Amino acid sequence: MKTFLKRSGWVALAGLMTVSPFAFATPTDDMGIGAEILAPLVLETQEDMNFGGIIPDAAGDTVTLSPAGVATAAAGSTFPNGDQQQGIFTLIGGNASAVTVTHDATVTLIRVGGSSTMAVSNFAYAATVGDLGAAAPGSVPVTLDATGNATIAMGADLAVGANQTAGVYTGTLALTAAYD
Amino acid sequence: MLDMQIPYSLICRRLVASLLVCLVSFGAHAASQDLQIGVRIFHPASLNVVDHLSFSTLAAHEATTFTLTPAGELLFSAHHALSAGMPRPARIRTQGAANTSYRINYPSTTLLTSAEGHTLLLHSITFEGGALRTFNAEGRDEVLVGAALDLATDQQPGFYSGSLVLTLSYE
Repeated sequence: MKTFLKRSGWVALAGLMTVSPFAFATPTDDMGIGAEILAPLVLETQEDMNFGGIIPDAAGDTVTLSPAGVATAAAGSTFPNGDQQQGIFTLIGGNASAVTVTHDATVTLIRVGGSSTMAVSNFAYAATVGDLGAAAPGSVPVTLDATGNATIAMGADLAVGANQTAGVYTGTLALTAAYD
Repeated sequence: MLDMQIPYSLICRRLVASLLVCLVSFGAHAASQDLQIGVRIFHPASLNVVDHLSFSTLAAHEATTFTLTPAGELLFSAHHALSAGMPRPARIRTQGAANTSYRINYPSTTLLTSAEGHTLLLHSITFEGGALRTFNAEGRDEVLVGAALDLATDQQPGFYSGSLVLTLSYE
């Protein structure tokens, strides 16, 4: 096999020699290669969001949970237990990196053991570590701090229907973070 | 002999480029996690006084504390004290979320006043079974309430009345 390759090489070289006497010079050039190495991005939920206990206005209501964890009602709903909790998640990645967190704009909560539903929407955000850009519900531009960390609190609106069936309602919001 | 050889520097560059590509592909550039959202909707709770508390008619020759128990028994501290009529504890009915704890909140004392402006101190308000309670499986509860009343030695005769504000809160 080696012999064959060598012979083939000679044949090729002989052909080249007939074309140009400079064919022995190896043509070289530098090809630029660029790459940005990103630190692995980690998204972790620290606190689930809990609207807490609500005694709803019989006519229906919109309950707003702020990113600070404070619940307010547009109508007459009350919060007997004061057990509200804003959602909190953290990001770890490249120092001062720009990241966008995305999620569905609306989540449906379903009554445990039943079929009644409520909608959660109008998510609002606040950064306690890192910086927030102009966030829209479902799209959260975040700049990690100089050490590559961010902590984001989030609230939302809960639409309570008229004569909403009593019970515990739960739902899941899938968060995805990606470098810009 | 002339062999075809790839320059060493070119091999190094290709190796570096390959490593860079590998590093980029191994670096996690996106991450996902679920955030749970929950809420508990309570039945609107209600509290209604079915029977008001009444000590009925009392008399004493000295300072006396009359205690009306939630069971309706009237006790008094002085030897020379009388009661007449039908003392009656208050009866309260509540409604709310089934099998859920709640509390009846109330002031510790209140003053009963007569038309002439004289006063009696009502205190030691007692709920049968306590003020921390639980709705039954139908979301209902009922509780009897007693209290104590202090009569002074020179307590002015008259009809005394007052009120307590009771509120219900879920625990």
